[in-house]
Amino acid sequence: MNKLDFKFELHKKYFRRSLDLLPGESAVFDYSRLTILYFALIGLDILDGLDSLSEDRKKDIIEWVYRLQLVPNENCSVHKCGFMGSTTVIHLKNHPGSEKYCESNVAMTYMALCILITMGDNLSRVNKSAVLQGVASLQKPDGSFKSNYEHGESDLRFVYCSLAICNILNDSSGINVNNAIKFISKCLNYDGAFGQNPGTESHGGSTYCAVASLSLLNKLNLVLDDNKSKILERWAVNRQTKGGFQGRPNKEADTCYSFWLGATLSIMGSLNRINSERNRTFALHNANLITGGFSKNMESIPDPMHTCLSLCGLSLIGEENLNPINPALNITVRATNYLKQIQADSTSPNKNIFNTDTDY
Amino acid sequence: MESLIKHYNSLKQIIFGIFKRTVGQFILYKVSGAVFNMVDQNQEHKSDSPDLYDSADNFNYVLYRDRPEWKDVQPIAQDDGPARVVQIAYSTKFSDVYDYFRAVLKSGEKSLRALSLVTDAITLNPANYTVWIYRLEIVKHLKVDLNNELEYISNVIREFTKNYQVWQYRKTIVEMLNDPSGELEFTADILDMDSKNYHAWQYRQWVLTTFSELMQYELNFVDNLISQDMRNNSAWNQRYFVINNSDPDSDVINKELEYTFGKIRILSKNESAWNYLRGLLLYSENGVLEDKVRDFCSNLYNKGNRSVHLMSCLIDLTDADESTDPENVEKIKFALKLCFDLASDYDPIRRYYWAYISKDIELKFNFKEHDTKILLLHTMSSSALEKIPDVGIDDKGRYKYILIKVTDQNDSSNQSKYVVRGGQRFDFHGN
Repeated sequence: MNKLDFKFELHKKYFRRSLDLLPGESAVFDYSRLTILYFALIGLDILDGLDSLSEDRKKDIIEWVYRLQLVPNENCSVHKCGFMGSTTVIHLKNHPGSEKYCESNVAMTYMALCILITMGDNLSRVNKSAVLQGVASLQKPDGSFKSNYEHGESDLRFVYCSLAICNILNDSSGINVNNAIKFISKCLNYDGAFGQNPGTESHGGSTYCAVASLSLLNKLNLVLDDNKSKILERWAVNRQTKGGFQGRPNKEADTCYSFWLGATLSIMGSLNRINSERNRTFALHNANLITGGFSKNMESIPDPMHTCLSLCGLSLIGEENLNPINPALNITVRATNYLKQIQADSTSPNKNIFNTDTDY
Repeated sequence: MESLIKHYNSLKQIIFGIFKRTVGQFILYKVSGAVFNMVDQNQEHKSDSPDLYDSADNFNYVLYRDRPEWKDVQPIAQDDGPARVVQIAYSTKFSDVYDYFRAVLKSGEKSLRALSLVTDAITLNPANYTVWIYRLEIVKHLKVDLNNELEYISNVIREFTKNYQVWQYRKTIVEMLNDPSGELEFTADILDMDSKNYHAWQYRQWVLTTFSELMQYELNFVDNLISQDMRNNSAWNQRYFVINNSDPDSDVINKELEYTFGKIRILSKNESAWNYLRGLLLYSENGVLEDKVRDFCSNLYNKGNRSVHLMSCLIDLTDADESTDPENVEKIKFALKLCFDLASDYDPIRRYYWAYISKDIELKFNFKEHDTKILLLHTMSSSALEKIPDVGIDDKGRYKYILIKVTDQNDSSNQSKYVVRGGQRFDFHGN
């Protein structure tokens, strides 16, 4: 078998370019630039490439992220608090009457926290209670979570982000965990996998959100008994087609599903049942050897999301010299250990790093 | 910025270098797409606004800052703070529209001109949900005819079929109109462009749940889609959605079972139909449906059909049967043979999976002796063990050979092999 080479430096460069400047076509990501930052930094961490960023650069990134935080004041009620995805409407941050338009988004808050942890920030400037109240105010009576307060849509993606935030901040007392679990169970379909909402088609991405959410809550077995686990596992291994993974039956393979399904199986303890060699070959065939980065398939150009998730997928199957990841939070194990350390520090009586009384 | 431009230009030269050597055209297309996207936006930065003239539609486009009717508004530039992180090389048009949008958002102006500005902002980035929130505010404030708004959002969706915000906005407008009369036709149109569009299906389910009188036509629609493409998993899911919501009696389920059998007979490799079959079994009482499925599967198998899903289904039916009667022994043997055949011939990509299932059945039924054991080492072309050379001895010098037994900790099969090493880097050791 022809072994494909892995070009570490090239992919690190790709991410460093993304951290600096993106082409004009990326304007559709203008409102979620934080997601690009997230993919670039998690990807760099997997490549063990964070050292290639100068200390000043890291500081810049941390400051940029903290600027996106909304904290409670007379112009921002606590249910809008958390992080925004970009600076597009940051000028309204303290402007009276603009609350409706200047609000956090739960996916962005999740990614902001992951970025800060990955950058080695101890979250001391995160207004923990405001973030948690913000998350709590997004939960709907059916247990699901909205993306943002005003007209936000709700589905498993935002359930996952909400639960991940509670997990990172080590406090889920403000949300109704049982209702969240009920909602997740309702998304379980006849074919054994999960759809985005009750009744919608099973999908690799939503299945990851469901399984990762349950695992963060330590309630995987509550929704998936032995039999259901077995059926879901079958559905997930069946997604491997022509080496890579597809998101739904009878669709084409796409590199990002090596993460969504790889992580799902990894959380369930079944990742050794896939064909890792073929999965690796598929991912490496979609690496661009001139610009760096990975594309979703041979017909596309690389983007930060597919590059990061390809690396996550490769890391899960033990690619040499890639840092291992925590499949349920999708940060590296290194970053997870750091998180555990700051969580432990915060619970010790004299050293509360999650200080909620900080003057902003 | 300067260094970035230099960087991209050097990449551009690499591309042309490759072009001269005429490497595979396909790879070239892929690579040049990635690089030129970056190169183009840099050129844009150097000259002022070439993007305004990139298509005939835009030829007469006037920037907001040059429009007399907007003279009274002071645009607000994006405030990115001191740090420059994941910057986007916005086109002049993009920055111009959003600078004015920021100003309008701050002043709270809800006017016709604001509506048209918001329309431009949406065209440039339909994923900005705040623009949609503001649009709705203007629409409510100006009491815009919601039917016009519905037509507007129809056109936007036709252009951005896979954007979350557009469908969310449509939902809001239809809720306000409380009139779903055009919705099934509209989603059918979008599904005609891509019959697996997740957004369109999700929206369609919302329409059917909210306006339940429409549900009666849905099975017909699904029938048509499945006839056009039996592999359309979204259509099968929609079929289950309809049936499941209709509180079906055993007659309905039996009819569905026959329908599915029919589709499987035509295309037995279609996972979607087999998954649907699994869904129907959830309605089974006292194993009645399982018996029918078992007969159907045995029949197909005996006719020589070796669809992976057929074989999987036969394994599952045996696995579910808890009985340890002597007659079941033959069934277990058969299930283990199916696992073996799948791992070696019919589904080798999943050979690790089938090896696990085989082992699972062995354990469950305490069935150790059989001649269809799946031995993975023979089929693993590049297992961790095989990567290790059998012999490694230095060219020069005299050494004692060391015989080492190697096992892969990550491999549950406990396979091992012996390798020989000899060389200067090993310490002396007494015998």
